[in-house]
Amino acid sequence: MGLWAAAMPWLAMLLLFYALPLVSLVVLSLLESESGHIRFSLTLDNYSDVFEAATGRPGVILKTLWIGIQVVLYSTIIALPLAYFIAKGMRSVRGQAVLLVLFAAAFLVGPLVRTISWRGVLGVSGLINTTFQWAGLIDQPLLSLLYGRPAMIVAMTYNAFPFMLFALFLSMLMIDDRHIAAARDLGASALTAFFRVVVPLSIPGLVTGAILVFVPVLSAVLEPEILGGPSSRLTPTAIRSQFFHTLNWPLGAALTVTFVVFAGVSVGALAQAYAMFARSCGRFGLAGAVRPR
Amino acid sequence: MSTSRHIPLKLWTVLMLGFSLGPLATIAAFSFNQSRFYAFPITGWTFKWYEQLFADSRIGEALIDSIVIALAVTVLATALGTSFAFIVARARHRGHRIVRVVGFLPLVTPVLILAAGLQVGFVALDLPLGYGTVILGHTIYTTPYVVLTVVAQLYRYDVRLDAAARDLGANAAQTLRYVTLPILMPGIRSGAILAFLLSFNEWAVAFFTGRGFNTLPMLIYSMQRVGLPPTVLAYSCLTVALVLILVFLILPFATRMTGASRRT
Repeated sequence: MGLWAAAMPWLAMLLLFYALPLVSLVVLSLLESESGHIRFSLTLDNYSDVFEAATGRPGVILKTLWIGIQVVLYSTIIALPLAYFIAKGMRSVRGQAVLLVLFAAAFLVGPLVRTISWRGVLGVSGLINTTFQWAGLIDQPLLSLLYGRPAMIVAMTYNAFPFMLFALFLSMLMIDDRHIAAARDLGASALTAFFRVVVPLSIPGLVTGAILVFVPVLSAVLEPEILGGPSSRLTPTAIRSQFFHTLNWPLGAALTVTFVVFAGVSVGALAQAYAMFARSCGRFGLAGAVRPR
Repeated sequence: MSTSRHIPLKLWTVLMLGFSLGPLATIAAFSFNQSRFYAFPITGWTFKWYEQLFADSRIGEALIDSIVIALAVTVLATALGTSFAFIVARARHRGHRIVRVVGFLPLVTPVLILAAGLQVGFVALDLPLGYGTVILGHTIYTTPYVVLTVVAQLYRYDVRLDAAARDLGANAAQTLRYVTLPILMPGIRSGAILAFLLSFNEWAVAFFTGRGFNTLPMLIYSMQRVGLPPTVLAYSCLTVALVLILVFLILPFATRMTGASRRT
């Protein structure tokens, strides 16, 4: 079969350089290690080490996942109106494409530049403080903008929301305009039509978007380091230091596997919650009852 | 949908466009600032950070390494992604759904976990960490994006064109070479641009699997750890410019794909 032959090279690449690395990570997490040297005997010690409360690791995992959920929520709030406007409010196809491409630019600039760029916005003499002081809104610069959890969350949302935007845009593009027109004809306000018709029909986009936004948070090493300050290290940083500084690879692998499993459960639950929320939007009408015009 | 009540939506869009491009514009503006700090006030305009950036021999080496890697990744990812796209768009056999999901798995894998896994995997495979391992890692990371753009183009492809070519005496290879691929070219080209940019600016995989050399993001990462020199700002501004230029090459493709899948 031609199609299968064409698909084989990529599938082979995935087997060798995707499946095998991840499987070796799992295997490695089950091996004993003695002061940096790996011994080939099976053990669960690395996992009990991960869950050792005294190391603070379980707490940091939960903190990281909670930040991920917040980033998904903020991305949704940003992207829902945006996707709706681009998909349904714009007549010009070219205009739609220009906006999408501009929103993609920040993602393509890469993790390093887009994280560093926030230092000049949030810093003590940064864009926000300077503008506010110039406008007379504050006397002293707000010191808390940089180096803390809010700065990290802002930057992570910034990094990830385009994924939610694209997922929602594609799924809203598929919504038949006549559904919205019908709701409006029957007396729904624009807001009611949005929540009772558009949101429930965007469930595939919401679910895909939630997953795609959550994923980059799981690799957030740069945001805590560049914007968060020393106290806000998250699990990704801990994983990296096991591989680069402490050089305890089995423990690093166990931490990675644990983190991925917990992340998978959280994102699955989040996606379910999103789908339920969107469906109930359709049933109960969160934007209030339909009122005749 | 009526256009009269769009004002809040328009405002939100403008605001978010500012959110999205504001930080990049800020860093670009400060790269021309006399003062060596990434902060106000702007004391005057200068190109001296750019001169310093280009005078730094490490930058030149890293630039060459980054370009070599990104070009190799572009070639590999474009070839692999394009050929895989056909099964995603056309296969209706048993199991094609699973194959489709498997093909996109790297898209939902956190890069840090991919990077850590690759490091362990390369050691397990006895591959020495270096150029080759970064190229392989980036190929895994970028190929799904090529698949996406080529699939978008393939969904609009009229298969009767293939049949017509075959009727007129072309063999399978000739049909592919002279009919199918030229028509898919906008999608392939857009995928290639994405693969290049993603590889060129990627940090985590290069950091974990590259040894003995620096890609630009690796070098900039180590430079910004010691007090964020203004040359980093100059580099950032150039990266933003590169992305904006290349991304607008994708625009005609994005326009056609948006127009084609729109229901009105």
